[in-house]
Amino acid sequence: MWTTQSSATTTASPQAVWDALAALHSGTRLGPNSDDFELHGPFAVGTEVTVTPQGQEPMRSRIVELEPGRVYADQTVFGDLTLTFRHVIEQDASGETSVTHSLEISGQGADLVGPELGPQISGDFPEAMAELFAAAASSYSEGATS
Amino acid sequence: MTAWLGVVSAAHVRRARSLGFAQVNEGTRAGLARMSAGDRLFYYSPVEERGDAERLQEFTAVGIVADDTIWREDEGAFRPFRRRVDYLVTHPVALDDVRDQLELTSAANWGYQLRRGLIPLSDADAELIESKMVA
Repeated sequence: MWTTQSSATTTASPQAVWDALAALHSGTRLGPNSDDFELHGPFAVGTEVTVTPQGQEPMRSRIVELEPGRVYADQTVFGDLTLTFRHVIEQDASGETSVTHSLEISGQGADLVGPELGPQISGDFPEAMAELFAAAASSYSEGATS
Repeated sequence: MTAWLGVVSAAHVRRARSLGFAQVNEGTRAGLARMSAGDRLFYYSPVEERGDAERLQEFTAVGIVADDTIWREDEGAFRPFRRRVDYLVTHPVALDDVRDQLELTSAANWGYQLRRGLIPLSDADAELIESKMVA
């Protein structure tokens, strides 16, 4: 298994971050660098979602974890490999919202392929996080606190 | 024939082709070192320019690795590893023109492998793509 993760904090509320994350995975682009998501059913565990990174081929994933306000994860299967993308949202001791975006590559050959493939995929995690936080701080913060 | 597929923007492929070199994975050495003299290198360009949102999705060049020398180019802040390739006279071929016939694209979510930057290409795929590019 190969894993990597990227964490950051924001002053936006956990609910605002969650609302932005849910909107993204339901098809709302959060910024110019967002991947495109197309949900094939309700925003719930088991639903498939088509993810199209900018300029790349579409991938078909499945939502595998969903704790509203806290955890979202989806999985993509490619050959013997399973790629699990997970967002975990937590409020830290200072009152800020911490978000951890992780990628786990498992399955046969993951130890070999992961170090080569993983960084190419996770390289834009910080950029995606910045767009998530910007969206949480604007469009979604008002609704979350009202 | 051992064949490789490099994933590089079309603009970068044109420069590599005009100067007769190969460069993959943002100038790192490891990918180049996997190739041997006589191997075929195909380039697939998902986009015209790096960072483009609009997809191009074309096979943009094919060449033969000329020798076993890998050198490091000095371009100031950027110092990529390169090796010499003799490019064939070809024209770009759209992925959609061969997608249904390729082993490369036969698996679900096949696009992930392109993120590796350089991947082996089957003999059958190499022969098919080359035949379309030189036609």
